Amino acid sequence: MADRPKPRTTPAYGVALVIGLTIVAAALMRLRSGVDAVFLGECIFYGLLLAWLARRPEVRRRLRGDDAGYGRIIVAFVVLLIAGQLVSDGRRTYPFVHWAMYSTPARKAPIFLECHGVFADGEEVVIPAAQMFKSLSVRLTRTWLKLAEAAAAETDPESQAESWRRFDGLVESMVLEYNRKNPGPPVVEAVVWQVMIPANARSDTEAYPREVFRRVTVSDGAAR
Amino acid sequence: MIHETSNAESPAILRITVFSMWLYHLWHDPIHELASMPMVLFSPIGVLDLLPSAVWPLILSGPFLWTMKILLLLTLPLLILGVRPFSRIAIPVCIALTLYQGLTRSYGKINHGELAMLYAAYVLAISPCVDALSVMKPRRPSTNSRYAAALFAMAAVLCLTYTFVGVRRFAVGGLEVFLDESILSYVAHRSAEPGPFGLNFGLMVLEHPLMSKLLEVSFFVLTAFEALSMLALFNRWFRWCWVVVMLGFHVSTIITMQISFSANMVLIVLLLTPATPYASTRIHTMLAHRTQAGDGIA
Repeated sequence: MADRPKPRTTPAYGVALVIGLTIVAAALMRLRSGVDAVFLGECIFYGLLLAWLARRPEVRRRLRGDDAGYGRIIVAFVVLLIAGQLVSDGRRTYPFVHWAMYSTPARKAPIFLECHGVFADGEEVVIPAAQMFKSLSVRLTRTWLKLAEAAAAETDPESQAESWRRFDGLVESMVLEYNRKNPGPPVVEAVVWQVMIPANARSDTEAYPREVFRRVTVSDGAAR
Repeated sequence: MIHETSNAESPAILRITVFSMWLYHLWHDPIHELASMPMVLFSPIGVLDLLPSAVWPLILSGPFLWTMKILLLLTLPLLILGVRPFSRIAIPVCIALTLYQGLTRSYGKINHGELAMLYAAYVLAISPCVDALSVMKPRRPSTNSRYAAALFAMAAVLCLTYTFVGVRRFAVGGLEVFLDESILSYVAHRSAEPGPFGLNFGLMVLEHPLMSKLLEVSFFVLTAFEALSMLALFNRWFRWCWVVVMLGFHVSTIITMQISFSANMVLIVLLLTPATPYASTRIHTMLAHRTQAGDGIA
């Protein structure tokens, strides 16, 4: 059987590579708001990582011969993943989002919100926010906290009113979902508590300092 | 290197596992509940933003969400069973999974729980993974090298996501994030807040100074392993250490922080331990014996 000709790196391939990298770099620069040391450092790291991978004989073998086409698709996929990490704005690059869990120093006095539902007779019940919309789970509680912080920090009255409207809309949705899942007398008002987690946090969370953050009256209609 | 020796059963095992995990996830996810969320909180992310804003009230309606869920519940078993044309079914399913996961992330925080599983589905959609363990007859089987490439690609993508976390933590947090007891605050917060599992074992851990110190040290060790994750693809000894550290880390985050990366744990076992090569060899041998026995009878 005759030997197959070895695939060669042609000038056209090199040009295509440079153009591709330029497009990726341009997209990164456009998407990312400003270039900082972290960005440059990560660019260098991932450049070196890709160069190291490209030099591995096992990887080179996969990028040539019969597997070449498949290998290039995977390389493109990896480049997109790295681009998403460098852009650092998952809201624009999903599904290639950035991964930065617990990379910033934590706040020293963490807080969380707790939603209490009030029935018409004044009796209260704790509404488990993370379990109301199971598709969202803790995403909901994080968003909820962010909305609360945004509304409290807002200085422009109009923007603040809009922030509170969003916050109240979310609380109302949770209560309506609670009412839907729990037949019986409906919750008519929500009291949102802000709970401070002390530095020397203990298992007894009931003893944590807390204060009423906001009260939301619940309508009987949909919150959309 | 990992997955140097693979056969047709190797990517097939991954195909069955990954799409079964999606099926399980979707089955238990009341995605239709999103129809009750206020539209004002919805802000489409990434590729979802390419869709015209006029379609969102339709997409976020109960009937559409139910239809999407039912269609996925009907098509995912086809992928698990290895029905052909595989890619022509898998690619639309991956697009639908991207939409489904994007919807939940468009209500605020973008978390990472299912993303490794999504990326694994992307790789499988274009890989030769229906040459074995399929209800359809084999047709023009691919090469062992291509099977190995598919598994290597999935392992590389999985490791890369861990590299991202480790490198970013060192780059942004520097040493400060390891020395200022940040991890203790994070554990306290995640454990104390009402979460999906209702566990606050993290707070119990924080009550013991020695355990707290251990937590701080392991946070640094974990980050170092995360940053070096790509080494796990090429060095067997490092890979074993990496697997132990990562599985330990994922178990501990479930207990102490109410954060579950169960899909990642399954992928780690399948892609970075000898589980898949062992299972695929056993299945291959068993099927070969059965075929020989069948030929003998005939």
